[in-house]
Amino acid sequence: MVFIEISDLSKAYMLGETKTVALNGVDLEINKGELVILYGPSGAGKTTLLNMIGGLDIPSSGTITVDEIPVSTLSAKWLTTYRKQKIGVVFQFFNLLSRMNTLENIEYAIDLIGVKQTDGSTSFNGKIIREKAQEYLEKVGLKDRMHHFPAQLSGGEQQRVSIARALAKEPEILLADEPTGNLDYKIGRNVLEIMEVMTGKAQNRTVIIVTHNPAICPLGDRVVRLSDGKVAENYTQKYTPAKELYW
Amino acid sequence: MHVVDQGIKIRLEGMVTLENVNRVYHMGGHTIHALKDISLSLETGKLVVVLGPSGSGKTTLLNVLGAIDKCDGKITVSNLEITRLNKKQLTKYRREKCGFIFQFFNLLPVYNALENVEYAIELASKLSRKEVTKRATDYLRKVGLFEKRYLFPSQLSGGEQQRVAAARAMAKNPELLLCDEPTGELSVTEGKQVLTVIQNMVKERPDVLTVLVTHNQKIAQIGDVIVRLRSGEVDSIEEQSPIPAEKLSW
Amino acid sequence: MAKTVKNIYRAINANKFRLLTISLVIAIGITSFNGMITAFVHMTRTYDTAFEDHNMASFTMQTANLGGSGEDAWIDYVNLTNFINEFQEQEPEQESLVKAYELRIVYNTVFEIRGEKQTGQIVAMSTLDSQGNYREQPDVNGYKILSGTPYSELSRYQNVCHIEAHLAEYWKLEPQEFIAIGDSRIPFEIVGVIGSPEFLINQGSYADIMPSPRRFGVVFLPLKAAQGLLGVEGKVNEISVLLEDGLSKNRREKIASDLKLFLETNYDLKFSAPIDIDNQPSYYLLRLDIEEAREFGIVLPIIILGMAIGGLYVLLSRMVVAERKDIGVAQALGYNRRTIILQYLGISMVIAIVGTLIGTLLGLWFLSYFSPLYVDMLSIPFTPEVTIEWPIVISGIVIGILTGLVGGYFPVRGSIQPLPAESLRFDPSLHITSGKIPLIERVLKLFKINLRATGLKLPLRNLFRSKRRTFSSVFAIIVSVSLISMAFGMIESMNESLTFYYDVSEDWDLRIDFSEIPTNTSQIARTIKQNVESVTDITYHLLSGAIVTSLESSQRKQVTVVGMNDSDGYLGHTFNFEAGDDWNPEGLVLSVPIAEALHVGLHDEVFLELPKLTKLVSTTPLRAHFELVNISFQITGIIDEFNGLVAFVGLENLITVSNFPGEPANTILLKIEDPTPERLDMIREEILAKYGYNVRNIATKAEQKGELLELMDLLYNIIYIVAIFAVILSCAIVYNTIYISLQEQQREIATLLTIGTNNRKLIRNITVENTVITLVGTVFGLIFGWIMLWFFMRVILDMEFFRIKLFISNNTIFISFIMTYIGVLIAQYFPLRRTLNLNLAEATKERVV
Repeated sequence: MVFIEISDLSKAYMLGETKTVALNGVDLEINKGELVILYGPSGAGKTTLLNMIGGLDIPSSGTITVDEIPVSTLSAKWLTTYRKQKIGVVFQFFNLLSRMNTLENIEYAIDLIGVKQTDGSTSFNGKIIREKAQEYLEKVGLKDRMHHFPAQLSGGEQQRVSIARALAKEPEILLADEPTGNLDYKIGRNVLEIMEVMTGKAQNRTVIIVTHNPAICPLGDRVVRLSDGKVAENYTQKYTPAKELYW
Repeated sequence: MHVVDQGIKIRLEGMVTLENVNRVYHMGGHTIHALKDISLSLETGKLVVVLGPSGSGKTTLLNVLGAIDKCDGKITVSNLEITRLNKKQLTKYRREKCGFIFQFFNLLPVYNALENVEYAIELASKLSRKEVTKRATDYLRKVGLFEKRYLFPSQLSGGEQQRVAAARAMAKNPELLLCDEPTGELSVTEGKQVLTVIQNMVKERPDVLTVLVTHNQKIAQIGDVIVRLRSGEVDSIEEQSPIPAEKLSW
Repeated sequence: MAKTVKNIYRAINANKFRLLTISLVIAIGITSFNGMITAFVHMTRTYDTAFEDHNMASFTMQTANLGGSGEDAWIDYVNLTNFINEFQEQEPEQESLVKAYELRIVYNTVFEIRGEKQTGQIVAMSTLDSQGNYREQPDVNGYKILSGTPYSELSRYQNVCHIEAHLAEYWKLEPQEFIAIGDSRIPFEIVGVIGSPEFLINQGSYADIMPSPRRFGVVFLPLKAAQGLLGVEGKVNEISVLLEDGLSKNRREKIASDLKLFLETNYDLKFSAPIDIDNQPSYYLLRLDIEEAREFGIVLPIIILGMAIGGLYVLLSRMVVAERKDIGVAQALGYNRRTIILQYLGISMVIAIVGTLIGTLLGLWFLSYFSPLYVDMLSIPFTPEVTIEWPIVISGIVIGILTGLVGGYFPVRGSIQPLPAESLRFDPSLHITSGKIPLIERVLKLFKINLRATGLKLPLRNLFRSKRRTFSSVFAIIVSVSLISMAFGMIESMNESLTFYYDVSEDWDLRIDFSEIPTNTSQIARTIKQNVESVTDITYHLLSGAIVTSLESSQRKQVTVVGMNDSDGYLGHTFNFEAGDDWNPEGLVLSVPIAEALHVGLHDEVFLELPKLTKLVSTTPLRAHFELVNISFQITGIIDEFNGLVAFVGLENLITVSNFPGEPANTILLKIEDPTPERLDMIREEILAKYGYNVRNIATKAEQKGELLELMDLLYNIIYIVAIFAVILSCAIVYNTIYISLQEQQREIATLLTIGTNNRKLIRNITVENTVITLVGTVFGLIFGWIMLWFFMRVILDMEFFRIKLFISNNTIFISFIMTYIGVLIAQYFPLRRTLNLNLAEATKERVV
């Protein structure tokens, strides 16, 4: 079942007075529940593509449809709703809000959508949100650091918080932009393991990981290699667990 | 002088030597050992690629060589022990001996390409106005940007900006050229152009030691020497015959 | 929501110092608003209560020959009572409008207090009501007893008096002391000190530029005692009428002129024009004064809060730029723009609310001091009731909050990108770069001037890199320079006008004022010159009040007419002509404000309402009957001098038209060789010994100047406060702007340091840049300062009796520049120090794309 459908997607943007073509006619289909590795060197357009899928940016031309939502034609207002409801993002530079502590960073995300109760209702109760944030912090093994501010955390810890923040919203799609890019190998692998566990097959969550590191490719069900704004390779494979990766 | 043999030719007069260099810093209660007891001797005329994944300490190594980060241990650059210099002397060292190429280009946005190069030359030399302009123009021609010398950074593509940065770094006749992930922000095509420029400079200037930091193994093939770092330690050092950048693909 | 609040709190906490500076600006604005507007309300209420409680006369009417003798000077009390009652009966519709009236004696005379002469006025009212019963207070123009006792039933048979508060304060007089009144120096016992709404400001006429209890003291007597003193048994010379409340001025004037007409036609009495309450000197001046407070209270906060909005705009728009990454992340999570805008708006609101609260509290604190202080400085014996005016406090809060809304919303809305990717990709260093070679550099190139890349080219390019950035820096300097130059300009202009007035215009060293007008002044002058050593020049003036009118305007202006003797070529006054070039004893020299008010110029004709002698009673002292006649004069000069309400004519001319006997004058001016204070004192003693019987006062110029300066003290204090505020304000705004500018360039500065630029060069570049900004801002700031100075002094402090030449001196220019420049250097020091100690490794890698 095709979940994300991208056709003839192009994006050019201005940096200063220079026009940069980031994507140049990308066609891609991603199924629900797949873990996709978007691989390619810097400047290949990986991040731009990820931003388009996540509704963080709009294409110059072409279409993106996610779960039958025409993302590429949504207005700014609906794009916000789309991001809120469907997407979780993990950035290369963690991008935790520096003025909030670990727990608050996660709560800040949950605040947006509230917590689904067993009876089907949604609660915005501060206490319930806090419990859920703590639950997710525990999942990434950082419950003891919930009152620390980002500046007091190591890179790996920040990235784990960032993952917890992205997943605490329980999004259908998790987008991770170079989640290991700024981390030491061991810590990076640990981050990937956490992602693997937390997104696991059972959750039926679609995950897209952007990386320039070929060693991470085996982790994906599908590997899409981008080069100069185009899809150079697109294949599915049997995935390798994160703990077996080495680089 | 005691130099640990790490498998490359030992030269006591080696252009750059590092002895037991450590860099430890603390962040949020964590102690991070970015460089662990590094000893190295590097020769002029070579393109040394420091390869390693994120967090391996490769950028820190480059920073301590360029004296923009502090460390314990001893670093000597052409007989000048930079680890003993004071702040003022370090500025002079950076001004006269180091050329930097940053990942994010870092050109002065208010200066056009030519002026950006002129700035560096003026800083490091006492040439006349005319000579400065001439040399800057020459270097821009070398990196293929003669036609665009009057354009401002905001009017240049990333690759072009990085080539200006390369001209800026080399035009002042440094002894040390330090490149930190120079292709990190560039597309393959543009990145290849930048690496070609760097390779050409290495060839032209046997008196200069070039250190290039990358995480990309393919890019590492352009070097004469590859120093592999892992968790702040030197994993291996090997010499190789470099592959011309234009033949690479990544 | 809780998180937003927390986030706002932390954002503020992280920038607290800079944000506090803006709060401070808002606080100053709100303080001035609250303080001044409430002071206005308090003072208005204090005065109104004083006027109402003491039944201030709606109009007064004096006999035509006030102070003289004969039928047109004095009217029989009983007759006049009957006439007025008749008027009330004949005009029944107006009868009901007259609440009460009071027949009084008002008489200018001399007092002797502690052996010294003093001029002033006696005011006498009956201690009996119309039924002949004793009363404590008169029906009209009552007073408040500040110390001592009211008159007793027996007072009318005794020589007792009440003295007015200003006079008592000046001489430190207490009940039970005695003062001598009149030429025959009859001793009167003081039974009480009183405050009268008629004399809230101690002023005989509003032409008197320096009201001083030394020259004009008021003593209240029981009517009978006054009649005995003046030898006018059963007579009065003034009618004070209290009308029903709420009548218009027109209505009041109609009743007054009806009464005048009635009395003059039916009983052959003669009155001078009735004086409406609005034109009563003390009342008029107080209104003028508090009106100024109100205008100040509106304009000053507008200026200050305008600056606060500017400061907030700069601060927040750049804060949003600096925090673009966090904004991008919040947007990526799914927060919409509105929520993010609200969050920054929250910051600006907190700044505004903190500022408003501080301002409101300061305003209240200030208030409890300000109104009483003000009243104290004017020696007004009615203490204002200091209450909190909630409508004003609430308006202040609303205004403060509006400042935050306006200053916060627009910059934030304008700076947040619609898409998160744009926020994350946004590069502020490109944002603040125009990427062009500035025109000035191209012009320099034409002259073969090529700046070095490492030289001044960088600061020059930086100056022109972004209009918005440079504008906000220049804006900060403009604020600073204009405020400082305005404040110092005010002080200097006043000082200069005063100095000029006393050093140049007033060309004398010693001035003798006579109590009674001698008619042989030239003889006195001659004797003094012959007998007193080191007197080089001597002349005399006859000063009197008069009304000037012209055909061009319906205005009637009260001026001091100076009749100048110029027999020896010494005038005692140096004219500063704006039009005309020489003193002409045949013509008239008028001050600029009067000429402007009357729409007349050089060679035009004006009329002076002067007394013309009809019957001479005695020559020494001069006592005579007068009628008022309008004499036409041609303007031969218009002067721009400190004293704005004055007209000069030739003394001979004045004597001729007034038909005076001999050579009357009331002031002698002396020029002394080498006028050291010791010598002046010696001469003073000598003259007092010889002519003491009639000398009211001998003053040196320094003494007169000192008196005036004392009067101006309040104004000076206000200006000094403004100047201090100005400096604080400007430091705050300059600091903010420079801080942000340097922060925006952090990566560039780090790059420069990395490639080997030394600290000195970097500091030099930034200093050059800020110096140029300071210079440019200073030029515009001075222009604005001048406009503000002009606005405040001419439009708000519209004082025609002080004619102040406005200027901003080189000193002020220098001080404004230096103070601002020091502010700039301090402001750049802290962020610069931080930047120079940057971790270069990190700062050069800050990810921006």
